[in-house]
Amino acid sequence: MNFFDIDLKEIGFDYVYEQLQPKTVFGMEIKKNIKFYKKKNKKNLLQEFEELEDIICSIKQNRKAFDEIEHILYKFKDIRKSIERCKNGSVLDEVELFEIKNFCLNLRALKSLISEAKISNIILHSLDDVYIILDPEGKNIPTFYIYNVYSEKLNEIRNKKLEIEKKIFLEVDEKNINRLKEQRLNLVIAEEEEELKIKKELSKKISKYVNAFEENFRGIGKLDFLIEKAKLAIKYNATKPIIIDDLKVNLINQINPYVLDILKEKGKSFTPITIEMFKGTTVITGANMGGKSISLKTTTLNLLLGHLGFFVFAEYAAFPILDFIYFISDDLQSVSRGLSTFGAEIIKLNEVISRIKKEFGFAALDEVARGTNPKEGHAIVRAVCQYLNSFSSFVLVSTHYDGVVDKNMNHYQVVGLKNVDLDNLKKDLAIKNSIEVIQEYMDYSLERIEGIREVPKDALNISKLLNFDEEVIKIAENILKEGDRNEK
Amino acid sequence: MSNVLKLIKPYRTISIIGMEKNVGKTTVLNHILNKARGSYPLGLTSIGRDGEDIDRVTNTEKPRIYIEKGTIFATCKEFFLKSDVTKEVLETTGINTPLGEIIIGRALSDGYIEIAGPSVNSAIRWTSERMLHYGAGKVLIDGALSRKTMASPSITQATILSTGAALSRDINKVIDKTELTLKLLSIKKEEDDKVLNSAFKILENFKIGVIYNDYSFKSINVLTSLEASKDIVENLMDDVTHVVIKGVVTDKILEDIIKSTDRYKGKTFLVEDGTKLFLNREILDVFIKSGGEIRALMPINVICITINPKSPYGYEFDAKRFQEKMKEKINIPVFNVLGDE
Repeated sequence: MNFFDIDLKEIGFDYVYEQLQPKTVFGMEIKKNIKFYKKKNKKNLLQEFEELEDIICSIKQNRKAFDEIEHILYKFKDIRKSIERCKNGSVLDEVELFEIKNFCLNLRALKSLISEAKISNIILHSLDDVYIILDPEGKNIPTFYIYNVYSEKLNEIRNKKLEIEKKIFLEVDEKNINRLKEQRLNLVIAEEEEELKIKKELSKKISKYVNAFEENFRGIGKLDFLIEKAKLAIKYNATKPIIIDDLKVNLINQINPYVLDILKEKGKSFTPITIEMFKGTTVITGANMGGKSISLKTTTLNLLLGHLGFFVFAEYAAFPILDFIYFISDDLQSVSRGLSTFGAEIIKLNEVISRIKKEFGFAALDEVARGTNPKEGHAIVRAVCQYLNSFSSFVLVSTHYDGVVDKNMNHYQVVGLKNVDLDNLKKDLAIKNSIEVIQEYMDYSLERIEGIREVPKDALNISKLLNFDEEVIKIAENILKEGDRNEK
Repeated sequence: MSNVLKLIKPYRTISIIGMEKNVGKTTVLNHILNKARGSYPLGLTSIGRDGEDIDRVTNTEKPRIYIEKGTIFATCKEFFLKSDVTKEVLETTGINTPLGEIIIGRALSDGYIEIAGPSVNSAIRWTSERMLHYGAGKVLIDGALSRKTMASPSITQATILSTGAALSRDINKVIDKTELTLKLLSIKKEEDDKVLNSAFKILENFKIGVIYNDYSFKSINVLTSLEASKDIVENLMDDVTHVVIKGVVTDKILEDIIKSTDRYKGKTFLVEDGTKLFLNREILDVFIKSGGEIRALMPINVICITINPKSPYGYEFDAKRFQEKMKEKINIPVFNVLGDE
């Protein structure tokens, strides 16, 4: 799976994706081939949301029926090869016919469960006609053999065969047994010939239903995968995104299941992330350890999922359909390809810029150019923000550099330690002696900033809290003051 | 041999394992099939071999068996379709082997089938359960003693061991080998549930481990059990009561341990079951006499031995003498596959 070269593990997509566990090969096939909806497929995307919403509704109302549906789904075997062979005029063997018979039987059960659960978007074709062909005696049991009623001749051969077998059993003379076995062998050959003839006929009859089978494969797969998506949406309380035509992205109280579950395990909670973006550049500034990165990853994850036909992990989500979604950080993937972090970033960044010039999309730039010397890094980030601000794409930038934000850019700041009583925190830190205390005090929510405000000096605060050498801190503070004066 | 049927009467799953090819295992199988005729449908499968390519699997001994109408059998798809009985498909198991999926079927006429079953314990157990579910009164499992088999007769309630002249021209050697094999197969089960519990936990993820006298345990990471002796020796502390070894235990492992320490004395070595012991008598005797002990996590219940006095290499033993000599050494029933005594 690859979408715009995004590191899917890093943004938490893989974690979500692995939770989708289709029960049938048909569902797995759809899972493997999830596609990114483009603008021209808006109608299909909206329809997919509708269908998902319907299933979620049905599941919530009728959980028991869905447990049964999933139970039946488990029973569907992969008969695609057999149907393909049948289509090409090959003769199906007994085991294949058995599996087709069972497929029909399971389909019948699934169809009735679907109507019981009032699922209207999944259309499955009845295969009862095929079932009757494979259950000529009307016994209604799932086993199969080439039934005697298929042909009078077969019936005769088999009866003769049984008679001889009885004789063989009763005979004690070795010679006679061998003679009888010889006779039996001739009947076995005749039986096989007749069986083959019947298998040919059965295969031919079934081949008329090949289309119905194939459409059912798709229908079952669709249902199977929809259920998985719905269960995921229910589990994390996801919302149906609203697709708008405005140049605006609005994501209220987003969560990231990957991070959420990790925090949960540690007994902590995830601070929901609200972000509103207008065309051009949106900058997130704020303290180290303040979760800027998580804001970017979560926003990327949710926009991506929305374009793949999933509900979005947020309380409210509205966005236009985008041509592309990028997430750039100093990820290790490109580094391992032999580029320096910075080199890899620049190449990626260039790709994004060229797409922004021509198309309309979203790019998250996570602390780009952090690895190079700060003076030049600062200049590059500032230039990128400024330049991209004039296009209609959404560019979400996290940075700890000061003075990147221009008046006409959206600006968010991590609240961080701004409202915290540092003395209290310090006492707490002394007692528990753990860096996690800082995380507990940290306010991870984003705050919208109007006008220009500089990046809070939480780095120094945190250094103080961690008992960093006082002399060094003093010098650092002086340097900062001097720098400010110089700028003014 | 007619007493064999009486012997297996209390059991629902029975395995028949041969010490070599051509020791008459198939004769035993056919005998039971024949004698059980008309009483209850039998279920049939075999322990397949894992990790071998199709050629090798096809070339190994697979008995063609004449079965009765009503018999339930589990074999790979290829053999299922090739069988000359009128066949009903009961279930496709989803268990795959190099020769295709294992299919459970019912014979609607008498006839010949070839059997190649699953190769993993859990799969054989499942297949057996399914055959019983479809109405088999007993399930017979055709097995072999080989380092290549992963599955073991310990999953069945009773085991028949087949031996014969094919093992050696020297009748004493055949008897000696058989006696040793029986001894190893029927090695005692570890009875302490707490020890068993710890042992199974070790084997979930590791090849070897040690259990301490408070039932706590330590798993030891080694690539194969064959090279484990050094790690075992290093971990034989005073408070260790049991050593757990997954897979095959060879002469070399025990020899290496005996040579480098005497700390194994008074400690119990646990193996999965008796089929994993490939030891010669000398090593076993030295180990036991100097205070070591070997026990199995899963017991094998060998109920009788069948002997075949004829060898395919053109010689044969005197049947009566062979049987008498065998009986002297072995305290379970001995049957001659070539005729009733």
